[in-house]
Amino acid sequence: MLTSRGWWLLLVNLALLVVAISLGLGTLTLALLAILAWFLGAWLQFHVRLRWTASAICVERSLLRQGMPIEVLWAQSTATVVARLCSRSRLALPYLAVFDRVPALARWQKGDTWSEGELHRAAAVEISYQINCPAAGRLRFDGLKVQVADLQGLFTAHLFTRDVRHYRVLPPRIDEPGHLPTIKRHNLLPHLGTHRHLRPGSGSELLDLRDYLPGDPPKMIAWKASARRDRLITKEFESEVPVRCTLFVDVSSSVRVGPPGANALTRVIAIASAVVHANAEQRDLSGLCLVDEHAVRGVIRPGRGKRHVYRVIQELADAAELAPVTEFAPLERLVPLAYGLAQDVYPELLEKDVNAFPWWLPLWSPQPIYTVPRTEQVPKSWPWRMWFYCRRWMRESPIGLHRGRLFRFAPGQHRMYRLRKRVAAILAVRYHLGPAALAWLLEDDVACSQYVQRFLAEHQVAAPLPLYDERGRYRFGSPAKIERLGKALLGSVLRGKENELFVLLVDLLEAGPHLEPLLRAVRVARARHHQVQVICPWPPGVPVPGQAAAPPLAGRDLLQASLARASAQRLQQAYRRVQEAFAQLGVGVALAPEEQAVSLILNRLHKLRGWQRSIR
Amino acid sequence: MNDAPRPAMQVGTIHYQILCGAGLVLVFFAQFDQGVFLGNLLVGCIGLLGIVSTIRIAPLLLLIVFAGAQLHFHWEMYRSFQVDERRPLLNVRDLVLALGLVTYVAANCRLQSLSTRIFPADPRQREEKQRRRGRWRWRELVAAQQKRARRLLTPQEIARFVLILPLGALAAQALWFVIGRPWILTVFHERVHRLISLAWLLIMGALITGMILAQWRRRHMDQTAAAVYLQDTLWRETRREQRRTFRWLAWRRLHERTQEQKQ
Repeated sequence: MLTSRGWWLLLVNLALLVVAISLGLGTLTLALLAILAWFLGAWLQFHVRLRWTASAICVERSLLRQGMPIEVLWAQSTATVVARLCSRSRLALPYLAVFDRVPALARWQKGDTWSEGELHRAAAVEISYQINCPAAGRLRFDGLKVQVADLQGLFTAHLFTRDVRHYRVLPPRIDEPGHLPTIKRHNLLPHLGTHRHLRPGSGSELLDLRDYLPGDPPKMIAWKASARRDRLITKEFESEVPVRCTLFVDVSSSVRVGPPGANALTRVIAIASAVVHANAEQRDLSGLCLVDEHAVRGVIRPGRGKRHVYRVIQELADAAELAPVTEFAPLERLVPLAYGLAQDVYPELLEKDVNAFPWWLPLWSPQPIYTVPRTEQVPKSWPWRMWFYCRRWMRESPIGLHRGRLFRFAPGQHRMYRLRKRVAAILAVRYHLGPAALAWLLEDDVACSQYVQRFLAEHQVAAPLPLYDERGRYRFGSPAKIERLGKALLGSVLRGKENELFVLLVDLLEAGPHLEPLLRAVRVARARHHQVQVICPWPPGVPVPGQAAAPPLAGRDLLQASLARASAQRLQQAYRRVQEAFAQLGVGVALAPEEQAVSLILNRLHKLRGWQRSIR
Repeated sequence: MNDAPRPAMQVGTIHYQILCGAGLVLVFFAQFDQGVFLGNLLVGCIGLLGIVSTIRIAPLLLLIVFAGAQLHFHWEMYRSFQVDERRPLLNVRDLVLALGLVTYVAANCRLQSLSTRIFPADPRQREEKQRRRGRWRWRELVAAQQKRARRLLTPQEIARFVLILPLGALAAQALWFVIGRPWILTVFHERVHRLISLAWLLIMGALITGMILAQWRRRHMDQTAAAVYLQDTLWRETRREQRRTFRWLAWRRLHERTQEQKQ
């Protein structure tokens, strides 16, 4: 590609050359021909070097922590990314700039994310920078973007050296304020009259002393007490039955909304991770069940041990990287984002000879209105309804006027059609949709929207999704999720042995009247002496109940502030309704952003340990 | 950071400035020998301005002024543009002049890559820059300009540059042999023949080279790019039929959805 400097030099030189030849100026012609020859030589040299080297360059990447390469890292820790662009070609590229894209989950700390230099077999170009990962998930590195130029700055080309790497970021080990000490308790017998009704068992904690009964094992005889009382006394120890805690984590789109690492799911994963670690320290059993709107994504039966904990943590880390998906999001917002991403990561698939776009196509055959999802409501009053249907008929009939016919000359429409065609071509090949999928994605808005969302989510690009549909309904509050959660809870109750704790880390704020299947399952759990705790994820940035909202600003922000306040009030009311519904069953509800959320679960577990040892 | 071994000899922008100056001196003396005086001074001034400042249009300005000086000289000598300049097919002075001009333009372009920018400005990459108008000072985001780092200059690069430059002048002389050769069929004026020859050479050369390069690129395409290419070919050939089918399917899907919502 010629740069502006190259274009100007070529045009001015050609124009002067034409003048010189036309006027018969031999000296001038020769001088300008020399410049032209040098220019064409530089162009040929640039292209030969580029084509020769393009297929022979590769990326070597490593993630270092304290100088050692790592494959997995913990959240809230720092690491150094080192990427080297190497060449196996005999020819050198005289100048190139290499850019690395910092993953969406990571935060850049120091060092340059780009570098420049000459690339040949003996000299690689290296980038080194430090990142911090604030939340769990997955770091995705696609490769290195390479911008090549000749030394005169007349020609330039974009390349992308693909080297997709994933690094798992495990949730952090948070020590919450209410974290219980893991040291052994004192061997103290309760005072007379204040008996702890504990169950005798084979534990190590002394429970009681009683008279010897025939059949008691001799090793249980308390010899000092027997000598003191002059009769045989037997020691009884506490029963040590481990407590099971099963975490039901909501990973549906409602908690995934927001940028990676700063959404409600991040906090939920952090809470679940903290509970699993604390439980493991107490040598209790932890289980995990991930639920979304489509299915129960993963179930890990309660277990203990390092390997089990690591498995649970890995499952949580994988869930943390999920991105929200909705059935339909406006393509006007998504397609430019996807095209920008493709320009960076797939420049070779946007070349004109690979992915062509006939400029006249939107003028000749624009997208008809009858294939665009309608976002308008039918009016209630009959005159308006008549007008509504009449207008629709006019637009959709072959003789009528519609948006496509009127706006086919609009530059914005033309641009959108061009970007969509090019993105659709990439998506059709990337997701193996078949040879005719390009036309399908070009005509079907819903399918195109879904695949573009998937494309953006895979590359960890936050897409602007509408939260509410045209009727004002929340798009992500799926009743199917509640039903699936209820079934999963019932399954766990049926498999449960002792008194267990079920922690529901579920977004129920938008569930509305669809809460009944879950309440039914909770009733069964309570009837079987299990404990249930609900932790509700809360959207970041919205004041929790009891917290004062930010003061409204004057002017243009007033509308935004009023909307935000109304939204917060609606969420707070929904939270109160959820609290009331569960309070009737004796189940506590807390919010995930509250600091005591983890402590609350751990206290419940602690109580459960006491209750388990009590005589039922 | 580039891990190529650093040269023992330090090379800087001054070397390209010296090369620019050398080119300008060659042009100056060649024109002086030709008999151009006033225009030569103007060329020298513009050339010097391009060396000491970072004006981006300096090489273009020099070309235009140089062409103006040559035109003026021709007019002064012959008083008509109908007369062809009398010169041998191989003239050393003209070769030196061409060499000087190429040296100046190429070295100035390299100088600009080091001092202003080497890549076109990317509007997506912005940097904060301080602006000033009178008393007012403010900061605004402007498209980042990326220039080549001076530490990347090597003596080998300068040597290669100096060795390549005469090739341009020699290639021009070869081109002149082809273009300036009299045609057997004299349908048009000789100058028109020259123009046609030049256009034919440029267009055919660009087409053939472009085709060879495109074919080379296709042979080295990866699997995904090849799939996109084939899919695009299929779409181009059956676009109309596919469009009809999928428009009908999209309409049916929307219609079913609307019916479901009504129910």
